[in-house]
This record gives sequence, C-alpha cells and structure tokens, in this order.
Amino acid sequence: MSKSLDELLVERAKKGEVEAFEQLISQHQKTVYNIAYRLTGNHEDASDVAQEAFIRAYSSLADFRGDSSFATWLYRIVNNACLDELRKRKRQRLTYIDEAVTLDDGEMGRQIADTADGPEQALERVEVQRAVQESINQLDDEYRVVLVMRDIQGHSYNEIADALGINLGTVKSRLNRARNALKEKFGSLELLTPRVVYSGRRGRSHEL
Amino acid sequence: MNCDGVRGLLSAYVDGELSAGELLRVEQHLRRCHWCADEVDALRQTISLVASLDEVALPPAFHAQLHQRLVAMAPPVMTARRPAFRRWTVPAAAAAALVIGVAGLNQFNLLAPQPPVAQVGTVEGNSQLAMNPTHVENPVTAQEPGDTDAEPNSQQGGTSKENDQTAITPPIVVEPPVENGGEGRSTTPLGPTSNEPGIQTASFVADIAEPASYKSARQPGAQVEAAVAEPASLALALRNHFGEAASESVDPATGTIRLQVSLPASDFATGLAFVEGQTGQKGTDTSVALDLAQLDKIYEELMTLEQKRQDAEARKAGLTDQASITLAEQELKQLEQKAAEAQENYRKLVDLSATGTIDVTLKPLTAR
Repeated sequence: MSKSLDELLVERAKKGEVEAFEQLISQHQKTVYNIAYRLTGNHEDASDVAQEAFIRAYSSLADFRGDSSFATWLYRIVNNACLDELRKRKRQRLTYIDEAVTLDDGEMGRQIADTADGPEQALERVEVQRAVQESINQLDDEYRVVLVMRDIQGHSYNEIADALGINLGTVKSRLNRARNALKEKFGSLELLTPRVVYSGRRGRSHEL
Repeated sequence: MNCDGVRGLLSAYVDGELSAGELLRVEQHLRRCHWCADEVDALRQTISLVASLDEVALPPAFHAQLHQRLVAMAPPVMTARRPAFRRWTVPAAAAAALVIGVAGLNQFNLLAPQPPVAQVGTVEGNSQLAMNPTHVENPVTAQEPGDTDAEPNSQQGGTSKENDQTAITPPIVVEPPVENGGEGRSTTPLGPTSNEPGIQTASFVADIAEPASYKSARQPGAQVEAAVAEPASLALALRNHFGEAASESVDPATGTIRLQVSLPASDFATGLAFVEGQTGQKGTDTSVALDLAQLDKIYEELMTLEQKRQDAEARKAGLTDQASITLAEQELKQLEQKAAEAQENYRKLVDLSATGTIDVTLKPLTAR
C-alpha cells in the first residue's frame, strides 16, 4: 500500500512536523502569493495574507481527509483568507494603494521582466503590468475577486459561484461589470488596439 | 436582439458560458453589428491583458518569516490528566452491532467546531478555526502503527519532529480581536514584531480556541447497571480492556462491583459501546452541558493580557536606550507569566470537559 509523497508529508505534518508541512507547500508558495498579490494589490498585504493562509492550513490539517487533493484544499483556504482580508480592509477603510507600494511593485516587476526583450521593451512591459494591476486594484472588491478568480486563476463560473457562495447570475454580472470597467480603463490608458473595421463587407467580420 | 441586450452577455459569450439559445442570438447579432463585434474584441484584449500578468516573485523574506511563524505556533492543547490507556480497536463486527447513542455527543469532534468560517478581525466574528482534539487521536490517524500514547504536557511545537511517536495534531491559531486600531495581523500597529531577530513574545491566544467554539459540546457521561452471574470476571474483562482508565471498587457486603472508566471525549462512544456489549445493558446518558461561563472569564482575561502585551511590544519597539528596553522586557515577562497561568487554567477546564466517565455497577445475580 504505497502512499504518494503528498500523503506521507500530510501525515507527518499532521503530527506537527513543520518541515514536512513546508515541503508540502513549497510548490504552492509562489502561486498562493500571486493570488494574494493580485487580489490585495500590494506586496505587504499579499505577504500577510499568503502567510495567514498557510498558517490556517497548518492549523486545520486535521480536517484534511484527503477527499480532494491537497492543492484544492489549500486553495480554498487561500481564497477564504484573501476574502477575509478584503472584508477586513473594508471595515477599516484603509487604502493600500499608494505610490510607495506601486513603486515597490515596479522593482519587483523588473526582476521578472522577460530578459529576451530589449531593455526598452522590458521596461514597457513592466509599465503595462503595473498599469494593469493598478486598474485591477481600483475595482470594487466584489468585482475584483470574481475577475481574479476567473481571469487569473482560471476557475469556471460554477467554481466561482461555489467558492463565493453566490449564484451563477451574480457571477456573470459581476464579471461583466469588472471586465467592462477594466476595458474602459485600459482604453483610456491606450492599452487596447482598435480592431480593423471591415466597412462595406457583409458576413462575418471577426472570428467567433 | 439589440445591442443593449447583447452587451450584457458578451462576457459570458467570450467564456463560452452562454446557453444554446443565448449563443445563437448573440452570434446572429454579432454578424450584423460591428460595434458589438468591436466590443468583443476589446473585451478579449482586456482579458488577455489581465491573464498576461507575470507571476511576481516571492518576497525574499517570505519563506523565513513563514517558518518563524509556523515554528512559533504554540503547542496544541494537550491534556495533562489523560490516562495512559491503550488505544484499542473494537472488532469491526461488534462495533457495527452496537448502538452508539450518547445524546449530544459528537464522537469525533467534541472539541472541533465546524469548518473554518474564517472571519479575522472582530471579536464576534472571530475565526472559528477548526480545533483539533489534539490530545486524542483523530480517527483517521488513530490506527497508525507505532503510535504510543501522547505525553502529557509535552511542549512540542517546532521540535516535534524529534518525537515522531507522539501524535500531535498541528496547533490552533486564533487571531486576536482587532478593535482599537490594531491591524489584526500578528504585527503591532507600529510594524512587524515576530519576524525580527531576538523574537519577542508570541500571542497569548495563539493556541486557545475561544469558548464559543465549545458551545455545542457536552461533557460526556453514562451510567450502566447490570446484574450478572459473575461480576468479578466481568469487571476483570473491563479492566483489561480499559487499562488504567478504569478504577474499581468492591462492596464486600453485597459483592457489587463498581467501575469508573474515564475516557477522553472522542473515545467515549466506542468505550461505552464496549461496556454495553459486555454487560448486555444499555447505558443511561448522564452527559452535562459545558459551563462556558468559566471559560469565558478566563478567555477574557487572556484577551486583556494579550492587548497589554501588544501595547507593551509596541512601546518597546519604539525604545532605543537599553535601560528602558530591559524594563519593557521585564514587563513583558510578567505578562507572559500571568498569561501562562491563565492558559493553564483554560486548558484544565477544557480537558475536564473533554473527559467523561462511564459509571458501571455490576451486581451479582441473586439466586433464590
């Protein structure tokens, strides 16, 4: 009866072995951090939220019975941690979007900019990404969450509805609003390329 | 369908989440309307921009910080007076045949409130993180080979890797309430504390589940009375089974034997089932509701101490001269001591609640 590495690590982690737990989460740390970062919009919060998520996962390991994969279980916790953070921020009415933070983000961005581009393109890419993230930050929480879950994490509408406890219709309308808001923003920032208009031609003028 | 009708559906259209009827109408419209077609294109570009965000790098300090926090998590709630009984297995057939019915007792989860409804922040909405009945085995892990009894009072935490044989489930974390301007993280308002070298005190409530999480719990209890041909041998069978968890007393005049079996909550139902099976009698439920008032009091005390601790840490963080720092550290030490006492009392109460007694009376059958 051989067990997967994950199963063995979970067993040991359940007994309180920190190292086992850390091994378990090692492949997820970056992803979790990124989810937190895209949802909260700044590195300080992302760090806190991501760590909070891992801590919660560690303390509720006994509840993990292996019905789902460890990753699935973990990401559910991560989403909840992010949502809690957003709710809490709402209550505290603090804004975390400030110059200093976005500057920090720019620096981080530079570290991972595609070095295959020339320096100019790399810089431009960083600028674009910063602009995109800032626009996302400006969305209202409910819209941002749905957007990040769909367009960054790739969840299905049903998964999003389940995770957030809202119905499908709400998911659709929030996503629509979020994307439209971003579309406006991106348009005004000149990040969108206008389509070539086929004038005077009948039939399909675009790919479906 | 006109443009207004279509616009609302375009997002779902791009995702392929339209019903067949909607899809047909949208496609028909898009064939004729280049404005909406432009919209679709812009929408696709928007989504693409969002999706193209590079993964950001993990901050350099992340891993170390997390490690500190994991390791600093206080040991799980352990029982001091857990009797060193053997973990036994009820034969499967027997277990299936027995009725397990102690009112109000959730066999496995006496101390585990329901799935984490995570609300960090206010006192009322404080996170009900799943608490693990850490001094008893989770049934899933109960049958591991080489499991020995958990040691009372062992301070495990980060060093538990050394003591592989003790089954200690990971500790519980409850965020302290964030009323007065605190940020609700493990940081003080002035900035992070526990990440710095020369680590300061850890939160006093880090491993204490709040009293509300015990609301549905009861302290188990049951009474079984039986008239049997040979009380002594039955008593012996029970004592062999329960080991040190059972204590026996005999009334020489009547030959009545009384046993008291003390069991942790999660083993209670199985233990009762065994007794019922052996005696052929059903037990009477004598479980009692937990008195939370006491727990509440101690928890409040801990909260007050925790607030004082955070204040003291914040003050200390702003100090520069060694003399003041030393004083501040003394103050923190005193707070720690008080908190340790309170925590101990809290745990004792919890333990008390978590243990139940099966009162067994075996009378000799009187032959007339």
